[in-house]
Amino acid sequence: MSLTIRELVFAYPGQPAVLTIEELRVEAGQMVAITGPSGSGKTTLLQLIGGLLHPQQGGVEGGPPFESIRWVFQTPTILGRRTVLDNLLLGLHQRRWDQSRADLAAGQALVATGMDQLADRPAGSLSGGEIQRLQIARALVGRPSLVLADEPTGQLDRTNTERVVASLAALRTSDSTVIVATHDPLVADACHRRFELRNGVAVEV
Amino acid sequence: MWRLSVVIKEIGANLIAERWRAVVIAVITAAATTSVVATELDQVRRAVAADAELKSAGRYVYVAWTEGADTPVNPTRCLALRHNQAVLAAGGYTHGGPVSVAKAPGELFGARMMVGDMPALLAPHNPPSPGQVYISQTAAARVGLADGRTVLLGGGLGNARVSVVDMSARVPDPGPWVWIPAAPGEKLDECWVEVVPAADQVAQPAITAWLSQGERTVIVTRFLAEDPLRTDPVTVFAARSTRYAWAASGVIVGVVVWLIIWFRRSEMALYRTVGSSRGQTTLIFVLPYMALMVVGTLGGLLLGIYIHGLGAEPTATSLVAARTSLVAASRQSFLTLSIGILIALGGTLLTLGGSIAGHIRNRL
Ligand SMILES: Nc1ncnc2c1ncn2[C@@H]1O[C@H](COP(=O)(O)OP(=O)(O)OP(=O)(O)O)[C@@H](O)[C@H]1O
Ligand SMILES: [Mg+2]
Repeated sequence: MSLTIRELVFAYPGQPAVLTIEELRVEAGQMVAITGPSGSGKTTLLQLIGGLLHPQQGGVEGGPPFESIRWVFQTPTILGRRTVLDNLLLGLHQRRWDQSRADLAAGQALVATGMDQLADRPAGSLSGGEIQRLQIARALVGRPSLVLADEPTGQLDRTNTERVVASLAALRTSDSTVIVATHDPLVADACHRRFELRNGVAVEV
Repeated sequence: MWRLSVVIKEIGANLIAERWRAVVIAVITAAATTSVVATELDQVRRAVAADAELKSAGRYVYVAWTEGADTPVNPTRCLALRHNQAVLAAGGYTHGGPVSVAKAPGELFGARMMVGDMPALLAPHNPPSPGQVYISQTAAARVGLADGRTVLLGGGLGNARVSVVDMSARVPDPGPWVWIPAAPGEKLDECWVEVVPAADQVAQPAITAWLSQGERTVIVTRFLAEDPLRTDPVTVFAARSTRYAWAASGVIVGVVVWLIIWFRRSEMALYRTVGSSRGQTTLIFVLPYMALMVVGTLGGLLLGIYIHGLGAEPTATSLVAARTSLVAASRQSFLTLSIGILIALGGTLLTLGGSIAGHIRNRL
């Protein structure tokens, strides 16, 4: 699923425009990094693509419905009292997947993110890096058309960042379109393409 | 669409993971229901007891008399009332002459010649055996007369065995009367009629019309003064201040459940970001709590009944009362549950409709 941002203008109420993007096209199955200094509007752009915010002008063409988007949040967003495996299967209950298919997909996602040893641990007992990998695995498992990740390594040290980047590789090779907001060069380098936000404008670098 | 079995599995896993919240909901619902049920059962018991007391005091008794000795109450018509299905008892008396009792020299009694169901009307709980002469406990105590004594009655009445009868329920201050059974004569000074409660509304005009046939003008009044009727237990029960307790406890239960769900709104946001629709998310969060509220309500109802009991002795009337108690308690529990579920459900939909997008934004 490809998506195109066209002639998009967005401003928070009573403030000058944060984003004025003429055109930004993301091809289906690609993984794209959005970089830029703090306050440049990376998070805002992800929220616009995900439909959590609405632009004053223009818009996102080809964006999937809200239910088909998976998110990787900067802050841990998991069910801490449920197991890692339960957290992975969470999104699958409303699809008509049978148990064996769901288990297979979950197993593959766990292996791809190096989490297979932790499947039965309560998610609340994971480390920060493991939680981020769990979120990535959760984004992988449902084969969503679009994954939006905001600073997936924002709170991690070097070692854990490298592990998460390795997990992101699984997302890059998946069929899903992936957009990652980051200021970490390691993450940006793991993507197919990279856009930088400067003064509200997106420039490919 | 989704697979129901998977949703149920999800709900089960969720409940186990959040079991303390589940316990809190079940316990609070049970506690609220128990207090409502126990209060209601107590109110019903009081109303039934007060009603029984009022009934034995003569709540449904009417007294007919006439003004002027030339047109007395017709005894035949008075006694014929006994064949009416709405009439429990009918009887009457005429004043006889003064009576002296040999055992109590110097005391003069008034004779009252009874016909019909008069004994049962005087002492509804312990109707004396027919064919005997009665004297009230109060009057007997005054002159020191014991039950079963044979005394010589003055006024040409001869010897008689006197039964001392407790008339206090109906006649608090019975006065110095000797009640003597007699055959119906020409006239009655008073005719007493006790009707079934259902006939109470129409009794007064009906009895008046029945006894007034011919040229007589019969006056029919309630046996009880208006005062005790003003605190009619049925009216008191209907106006009880706790009659909306179900609403209060339902609101408490509903708000507690809503609060618990509200504190889990980040979890709901999470379910939304992994593809659950609004309806599914509501179901996953509210359905198990609804089930817990049902369990809590049933537990609370049983506990309330266990603590308070349904009724008193297994007499026919208390069986009837027990059935009304059960209905009343169940109704209160059901209303509490309904209000609780409505508020919890509405609150969840409100929470889901409102701040969820903002909540997801906060995680980014
Ligand atoms: N809810 C809001 N209301 C008003 N202004 C906001 C709001 N959210 C963000 N902004 C402003 O919009 C601009 C872009 O914010 P945004 O969070 O998108 O930046 P960012 O690139 O994600 O920054 P960072 O790298 O620090 O996460 C900032 O100047 C910020 O102060
Ligand atoms: Mg940001």
